[in-house]
Amino acid sequence: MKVAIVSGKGGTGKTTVAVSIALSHKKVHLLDADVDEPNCSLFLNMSTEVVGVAKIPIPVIDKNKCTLCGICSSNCEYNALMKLPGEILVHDKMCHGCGLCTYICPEEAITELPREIGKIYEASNDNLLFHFGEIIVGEELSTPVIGNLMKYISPSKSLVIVDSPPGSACPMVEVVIDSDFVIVVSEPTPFGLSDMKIVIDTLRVLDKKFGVVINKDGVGDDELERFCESEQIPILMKIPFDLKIARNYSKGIPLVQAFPEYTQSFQNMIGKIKEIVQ
Amino acid sequence: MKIAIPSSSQEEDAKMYERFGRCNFFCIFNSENDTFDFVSNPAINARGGAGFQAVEFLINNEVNTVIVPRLGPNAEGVLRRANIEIFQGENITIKELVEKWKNNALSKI
Repeated sequence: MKVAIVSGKGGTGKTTVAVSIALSHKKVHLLDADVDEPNCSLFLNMSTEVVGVAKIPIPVIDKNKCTLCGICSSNCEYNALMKLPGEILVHDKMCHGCGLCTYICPEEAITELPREIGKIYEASNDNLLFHFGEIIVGEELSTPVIGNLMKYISPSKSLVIVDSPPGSACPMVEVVIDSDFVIVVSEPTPFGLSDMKIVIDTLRVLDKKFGVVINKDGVGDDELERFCESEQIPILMKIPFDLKIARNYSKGIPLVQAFPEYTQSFQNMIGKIKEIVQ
Repeated sequence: MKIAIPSSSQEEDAKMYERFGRCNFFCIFNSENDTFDFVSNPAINARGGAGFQAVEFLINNEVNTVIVPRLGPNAEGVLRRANIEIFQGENITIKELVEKWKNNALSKI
């Protein structure tokens, strides 16, 4: 079973939930797909090593074949190609690697070269296999790094947990698209609710099964809970707003290690999700 | 010679707009017949690379000189690559800028 952990708003507790689920179970594969700022490793105390490189293909133009017709540059959705008098300029960092220019060039003057934009790291112990992706500083395209990370998902693990980047755009979609269930971690504040609604709209378009974890319960109001009830969205778990939890988090101590009584709660939640999925 | 200046409206008395790649309009002054033309900037809503797209548009409009507020690295790189002359603008009207350019009172950057 593959479970994605998402949120609309950042800082609601995705990593807390993802790491806690991973440490409460055996034979788990945890993937940190928040490649712009992966932080699950801070809580795991495992030594990681680079196992792969994330690349995207960028166009290389053969000047002997190019007739400067401009079909490539005028059709590039990302303004990565530009027609100047005498040459077609390729802006590597704008290129999404979609391959359209190579496909449509009437002179077959374009070939593609891979460009490195991120790295994939791995660590493991008896209970846990862990991977995370990290984008190179200055690069903008996190989605292809996530796509590359997803290829490392192990078929031999019964439970796969993927920690998504915040938001509801392409990187989040890349994480949830192949998942069996999505946990939406939210906080009961107006910001938390507003951003959660956008995520839920997205998940409904994608036809995904999902439920909500309310983190920092008690910090705001009850609007978020009332919204979930009226929309018949299952509330899977509540984690109270508690300074003791925050202090341990700030020291890099996972919730279930600081408060072992939560282990049962996370196991119960995964049990509940299994029932919903089946 | 055609000179482009970013503008927020289609009037010669408007001040130069403070952004290059994402201005509403470009004023294109033609020094051969002393006319001001205003064209919509197709790059205004570009998701990224507005500077590239704006410069490509200006090249297609046969512009060979620009008067600018400040430039992003994208726009500056391709303007230089395309051998377009760049002059530093000031917070005055488009008409006044063109007068200064005619009198060689703008500095080339």
